Amino acid sequence: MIGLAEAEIEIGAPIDRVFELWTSTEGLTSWMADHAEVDLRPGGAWRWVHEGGEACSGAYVEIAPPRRLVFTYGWETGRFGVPAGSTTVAVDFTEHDGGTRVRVRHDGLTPEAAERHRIGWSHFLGVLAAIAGGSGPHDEQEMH
Amino acid sequence: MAARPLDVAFKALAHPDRRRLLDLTREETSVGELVNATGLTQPAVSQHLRTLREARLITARSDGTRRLYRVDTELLDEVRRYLDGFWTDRLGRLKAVAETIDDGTTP
Repeated sequence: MIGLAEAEIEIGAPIDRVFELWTSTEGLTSWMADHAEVDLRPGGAWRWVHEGGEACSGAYVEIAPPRRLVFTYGWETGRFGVPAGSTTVAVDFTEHDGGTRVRVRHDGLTPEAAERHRIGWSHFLGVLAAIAGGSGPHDEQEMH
Repeated sequence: MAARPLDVAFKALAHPDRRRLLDLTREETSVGELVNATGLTQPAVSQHLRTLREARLITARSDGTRRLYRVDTELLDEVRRYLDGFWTDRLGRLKAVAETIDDGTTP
């Protein structure tokens, strides 16, 4: 499956600490958002409000401390027309050289929707369909 | 209101026939082939192709008397670049915070 975006970094801190920075409100507000709400259980909702007031939200899909975190993701303010929860972010944590390697993969569809799409271009077209679907069904009617 | 390219693109994508046309133009395809494949009328196909071209989602070139259309992935790459930049930036902040806290609490 094609990732919509990928990023990776090595951090000189223990894996438990890095995982905690991703999964607690105190942790998230120290690097990700001005304000964070976290209901850390499968199906539980999360919400981040970034600088400038733009909010993202979604729900947790998989929580496996301290190695893996998966959640649905989208922008409430309609950036790209991607509705909240319409994409999926998977974060993998591995111990590396006494520190932690963090790998983020942002895919364009929820796991359920992704299963219906073939690998490759079809998947990416599905991404676009999901994005487009969030910006209103027809041309001039709905504006964000 | 000056529309941003991404907004124009997503607006163009908000129509199932146009998404189908994009799917069919992974290889170069003529209008006639698109009419046959979709069952749409030629004017409808032409109108959708124009919308897709204006949104920079499709390119066209002439081959003799035929016009051939093909999907243009440049704008899609733009979305990907935006998201790559977002996550790279956030992970940089995470690193800074994690290493600072660690320095402060580890003997």
